[in-house]
Amino acid sequence: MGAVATTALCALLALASVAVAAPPERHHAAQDLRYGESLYHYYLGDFPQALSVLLRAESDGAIVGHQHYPKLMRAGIYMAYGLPDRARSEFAAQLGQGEPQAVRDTAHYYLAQLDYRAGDYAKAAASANSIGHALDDTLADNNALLNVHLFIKTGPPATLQEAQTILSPLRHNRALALLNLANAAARAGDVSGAQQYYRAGLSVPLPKSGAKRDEALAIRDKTLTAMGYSFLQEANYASAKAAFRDVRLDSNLANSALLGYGWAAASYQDYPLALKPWQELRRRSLLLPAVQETLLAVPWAYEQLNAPRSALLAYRESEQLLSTEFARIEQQLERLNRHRLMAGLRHRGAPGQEHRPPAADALLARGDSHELQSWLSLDQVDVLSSDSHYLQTLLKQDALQQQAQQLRDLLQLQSGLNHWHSKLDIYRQLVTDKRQLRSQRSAAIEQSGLLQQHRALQQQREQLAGELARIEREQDTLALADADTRAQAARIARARTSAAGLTGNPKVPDNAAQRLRFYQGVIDWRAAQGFAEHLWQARKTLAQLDAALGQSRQRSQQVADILSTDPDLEAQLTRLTALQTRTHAQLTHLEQAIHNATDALLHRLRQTLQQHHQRLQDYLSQVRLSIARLYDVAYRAAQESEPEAPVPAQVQP
Amino acid sequence: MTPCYPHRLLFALFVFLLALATVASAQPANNTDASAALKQQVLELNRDLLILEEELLYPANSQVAVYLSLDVGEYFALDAVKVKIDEQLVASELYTPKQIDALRRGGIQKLYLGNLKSGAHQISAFFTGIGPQGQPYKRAASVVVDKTTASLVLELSIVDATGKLQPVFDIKQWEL
Repeated sequence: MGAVATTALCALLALASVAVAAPPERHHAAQDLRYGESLYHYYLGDFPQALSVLLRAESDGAIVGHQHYPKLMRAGIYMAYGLPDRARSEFAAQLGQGEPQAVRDTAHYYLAQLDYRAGDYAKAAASANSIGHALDDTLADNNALLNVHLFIKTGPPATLQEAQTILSPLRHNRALALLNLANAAARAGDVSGAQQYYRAGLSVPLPKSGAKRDEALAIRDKTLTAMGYSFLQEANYASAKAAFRDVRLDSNLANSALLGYGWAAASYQDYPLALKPWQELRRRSLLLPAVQETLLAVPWAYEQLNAPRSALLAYRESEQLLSTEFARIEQQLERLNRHRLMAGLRHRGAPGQEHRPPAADALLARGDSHELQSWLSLDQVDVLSSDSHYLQTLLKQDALQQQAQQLRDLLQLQSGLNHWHSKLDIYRQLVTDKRQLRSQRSAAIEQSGLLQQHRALQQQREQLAGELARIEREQDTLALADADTRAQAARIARARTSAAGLTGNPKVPDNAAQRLRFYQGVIDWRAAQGFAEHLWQARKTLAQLDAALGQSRQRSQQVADILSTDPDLEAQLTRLTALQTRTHAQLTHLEQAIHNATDALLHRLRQTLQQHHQRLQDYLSQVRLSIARLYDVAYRAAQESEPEAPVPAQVQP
Repeated sequence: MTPCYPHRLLFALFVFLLALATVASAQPANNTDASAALKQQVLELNRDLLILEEELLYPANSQVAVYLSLDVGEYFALDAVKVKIDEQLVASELYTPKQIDALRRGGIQKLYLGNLKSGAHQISAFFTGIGPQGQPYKRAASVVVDKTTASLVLELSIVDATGKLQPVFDIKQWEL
């Protein structure tokens, strides 16, 4: 996805996360957790996960609090994930639903973007014309840029003056729009018109900090480089040199700028100055066109300095560099197979995560494949890494990048599904074990009669409650008295019985019955004193027993319910089986798609390497021709001056 | 014979540069319908698998989910978060700049998904980072929740209190 489209999409997502207009770079947390989670994965570059979370949330029920934005976001993620048709239909579905103006404008903007990227400029212009004034600032700026691009594609080349109307709404994207207008003018042959645009682009102030500054600096490097070459075309070497000098050395365009700077210097015969950037370039990867050019430019500069020996040495070195590169190409062609390509693609990790091994990071940090040309630096990296890096450099070429990204996406999906495949086996085992365990427990419970125990306890409780009711009804104070009182009452009762049986016995005191009645009265009084409290305690205990029995009944019921709902496990197993079948089928399809995509990419890579080889073969022919010419000149000079033939310089390869 | 080195690549490189400058704004559409359909199917399958996994491993009656959000996050630069449930560490995270950026832009991170028995539980979160004065800053937030048979969803939120120019750390329970 292009830088502009990415920026625009980010703007959409940023817009989607704020309910009200907020200053740039400040965002509030999403109001819906699942929507926020999807946003989080999106910003981490994990598009499949972002989409899965969003789809999952939508299957659970509508996301609340964000109006149409989750659907717009879903469409945006489809766009970012290389599903333009799906994105188009999702954006189109947002129209004609009584949607707010901001939603309508956003949908129209992205439809215009999609049509533009598909090359349907008329349709893109129609969508762009439907956009009102409700776009967010960032999107409005991107829309202004899109209008400039449509203007370039559909209109005649325009001067800076004529383009003012279309340029006036632009803010952050102004420099990029000016660069593209300049390039369009240059392509049409209007070099001075292009230079006006370039100058206007360079006069746009750079942002103070942040990602926008990096972006602006990259555009500035492109502008300076393109302007430098336009000056070279006009033979304005001093201006060209000045433009190239301002390109940052760590930029992607440094190679082209170094080459151009050398040309500018060489054009007014300052060959020592020309040699400085060219010698630096010579140490970089021959995959880069600017580096290839130094194979001839460096020795040519020595020739201009009347240093034929140095020129010969430089040609010989070029020959050596070419031989090494040929060997590398041959090696790559021989070793290029499915396995190595897969390893190369997985080397970078998931999209957006940019996982690279430390060695590769260190090498990349040095810029422009420096290690490839300098074998002395290979002590920092093993041959395999270097080899892999060569492949990575190839895959980064524009012609291959999209194909490689497509394959990388498929590989990522395959990796995810393989992961699920093994997890589903584990889940199946888990559900099966659960079912078996449940069956065992069910049998054990059945055998122990555990679920019936609460019924027996309930019966006992009923007896207790009945007894308590009787005690209360009969005011049986002794029934609730403490153990001592009850024991004393029992002894008095036994004594009274004995006394009654011994009536008339002279040994029994006359007042025995009277005393026993007195004792009985004392005991009754004591029991009556504590009766109310004991009755309250008994009722409380009964209530606690009721609660415990209620819980027991509820738990028994729950267990019984669980035991009787065995089909839930069956349903899960059925779903598992269905998903396993789908996973298996999708893996088969993915494997086939990966196979086809790999074959296509391998074919393109081989073609690219062969074309690269052919280009270098042309350079080699010229290098050898120049070497022969130098020998010829030396031979003729020697013949003319001395009868003795000169000995040509012995050059070590 | 005077060697004459032609600037043979000059024009070619210039044209290449011109093309390069427009690549950023317009890429050719690569219509790979079969791949797109396959991607779509796999995404839908992935959604169904996620649903099943959650139902199997984290049934609603025992499920607890903890999310983290930043709103707006100007007074606190988050470095790390730890989450404890009943004094038991269940989740910890060290944040990368990319994760922080995702949170600052409105993203919400699912920090923890697990199971919890019904009843009262203490959830604690410990935040480490750089505070408003550029000094190391550590804060904790804690809440006692009652886990019922419904899924328990908590959001740890770091909110800017603009009045105090300080961050506020909060744990919010979501009613689903």
